[in-house]
This record gives sequence, structure tokens and C-alpha cells, in this order.
Amino acid sequence: MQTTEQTKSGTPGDMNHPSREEWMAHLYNELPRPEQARLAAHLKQCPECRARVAAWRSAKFSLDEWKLPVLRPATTAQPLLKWAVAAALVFGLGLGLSGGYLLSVNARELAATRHEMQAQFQAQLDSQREQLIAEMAKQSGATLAAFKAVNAAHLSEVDSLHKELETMAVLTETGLKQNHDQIVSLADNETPPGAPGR
Amino acid sequence: MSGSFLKSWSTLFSVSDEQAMWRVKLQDDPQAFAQLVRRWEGPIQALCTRMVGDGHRGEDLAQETFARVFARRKDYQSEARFSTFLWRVALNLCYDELRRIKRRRESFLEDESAGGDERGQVAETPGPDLRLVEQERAEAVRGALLQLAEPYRAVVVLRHYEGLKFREIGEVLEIPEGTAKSRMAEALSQLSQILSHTLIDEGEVKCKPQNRPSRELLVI
Repeated sequence: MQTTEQTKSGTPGDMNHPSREEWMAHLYNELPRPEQARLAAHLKQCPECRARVAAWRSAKFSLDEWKLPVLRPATTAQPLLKWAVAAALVFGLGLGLSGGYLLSVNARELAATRHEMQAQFQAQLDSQREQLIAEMAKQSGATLAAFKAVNAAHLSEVDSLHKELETMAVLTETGLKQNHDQIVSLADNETPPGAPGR
Repeated sequence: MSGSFLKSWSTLFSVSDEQAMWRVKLQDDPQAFAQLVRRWEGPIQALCTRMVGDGHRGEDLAQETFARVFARRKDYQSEARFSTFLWRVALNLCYDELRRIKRRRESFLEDESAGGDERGQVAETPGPDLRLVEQERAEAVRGALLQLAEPYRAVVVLRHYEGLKFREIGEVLEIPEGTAKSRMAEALSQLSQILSHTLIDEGEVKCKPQNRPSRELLVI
């Protein structure tokens, strides 16, 4: 079968005929209203176009002769589910509006309870913190006392050493003095004969 | 009015085709895919039936279309409309099927000329679901459509039966909108000729399409 794809169907030499593309848009109502009116007006006064469009329109109507059986309809579960969701939303909205007061009372009670619990918890926390600080202070005092005791022990030891050292120094000095005196006396007693004055 | 209101209200809770397909692509979401199948199995089955001219084969092709869509879910581009993607897959499967039918027919004719059996051509077997009263005229239209070349038939099916705009047909077939319109005009011209001959041959002069234009013209 011969098939051609022309872009224009106007009679050669007469450019006033609408193209067949325009006629197809006209037949399937895809033109704006003014364009539809323009083509309809042309059709009334142009026997040539009227004959061609009549043939197309006839074939178009003939296509409707072939009807297919109604295919399996879409399941109704999905719309029912959608409506159930919609009903639940509407119900929830109504419940929210009517129960607003109750919800606000509950909210106030909840806030009060929350504040009370918060205060109790804060007091407990403060008490534990003070105990901890006191214990740490006590432990610090004991440590300081221990340091002081050790320090005192060291000081007394140093003091006793110092005293022992002084005693030794005195004893040494005394001993040295005695030795010196003995040496002097020995020297006097052993003067050689013939020495003058003796 | 209440129906449209309910419809528009219900759409508030529905997921778009593109969103559903995105879930299928990224998460292999079976529920989203089932939703797409529910929405589109009717139109796709109708498209395939019109293209190949057989209801049973159309049903098989529709199932194959969804199987193909799932298999190719990673190829889906987020910026593309899901319907365009789906129509293309379905049409390509229809073209493949028509080529197979043509090969079988040619093989059958060779066998017949060589003295083979006389079974009827599968593609031209009347659909079982056609109503008996309109069967002859419906069969004439079905036969006329099958005589159209596939590019013209695709435009007719998408525009006339599936209700796509010419712009959308251009997107699906990847042709300019003007080409879609010119193919439609050519298809209607050929159908007019085929149907007039067919119906005259069958003695259905009263049903001849050319007998009705004078009344239809007044509608314009």
C-alpha cells in the first residue's frame, strides 16, 4: 500500500486551505477555540475540504466499531485503603479539636510534674556534690597532717644532729686544748742543762 | 460532580507513576510495581490487542510488557514520564510480535502453496470477546487496521483508542508532532478507502462510512 507523509494537504496554488495536520488537530479537538472556529468556518464554504474531512471523519467514527471487552478492573482494595486513611485523618482531626481542652490540662499537669521532679533531682545532685567536696577536703587535711608530721620528724632529726655536731665540736676543742697544755707542760719540764735562769 | 470531587480528593493520597517507578528502580519495591500494573494493565492490554489484532495475544503482550519494564527498571530515567517509557516498551514488543506473525504467515503461505494444511492465519482470527451483533463491522475495522503499516497503526491506536495527544505521541514514537498528525491523516485516508471497499464487498452498503458524513458535518 502506498503511504506518503505530506506536511501540507492544501491544494497546490491555494494556500488558504488548512493543512491536514491542522485538520487532524481539529478532528481531535486539540486546537484553541479560535482556531477551531476558523477551520469550521472554512469547512462551511469549501466543498473540497468538506469532502476530505468527511472521509476522515467517517473513518474516525468507524474506528469506534471495534470495541474491546471491558478489561479486568483495577482492584478496589487500594481506593478503600485510601478512604480508610482519609477517614482516620478526619476522625483524628475531630478528636484533636474536641479533646483539645483535656489535652491542655494533661499538658499542664505534665509540666508541673516535670518541674517537681527536676527540683528534686537538682537538690539530690547538690547534696551529693557537697558530700563529695567535704570528703575531698577531709582527705586533703589528712594528707597535709601527714606531710606536717613527716616534716616535723625531719626537723627534729636535723636538730638532734646539729646538737650532736656541736657537742662533738666542743669535745674536740676541749681535747685539743688539753693536748696543747700537756705539750706546753712537757716542754717546760724538759729544759736542757746550762740553760740560763734555771 | 461528586464523582469528580471524590476522584480529585482520592488523588491526594495516591503516588504518581513516576514516584512509584522510582521506588521500583531504587528499592525493587513490589508494592509500587503492583500499583503500576493495576493502573496500566488495561490501557497496555488494549494497545497490544489493537496493534496485533488479537485479544489473547494482547493479554500476553501486556504481561510481557510489565515483565520487560521490571527487567529494565534500572534504565528508567527520572526526568522521563513513566507512561512514555511504558508505551515505548509495549509498542516495541508489538512490533516484534508483528514481525513474528509475518514470518509465520509467509512460512504458512509457502507450505500452503506446496500443498500444506489449510489452517487460518492466526493474526486474523476473530477475537473471542467481540459481541456477535457488531462482530462483522468490528472485524472489518480490525482487518482494516491490520492492513495499515505499523507506524500509521501505532498513531491511530495511541490517538484514537488510548487518547494520547499528538504531542505525547511524538514523544513516545520520537517523531515531531506534525509528523504524528500527518501520519494520522494518512491513516484515516487509507482506512476510509479500505473500509468502503470492505463494506461494499460484504454488501453492507447501509453501514458504509461514506453514508454518514453529511450528518457529521453539521456537528462542526
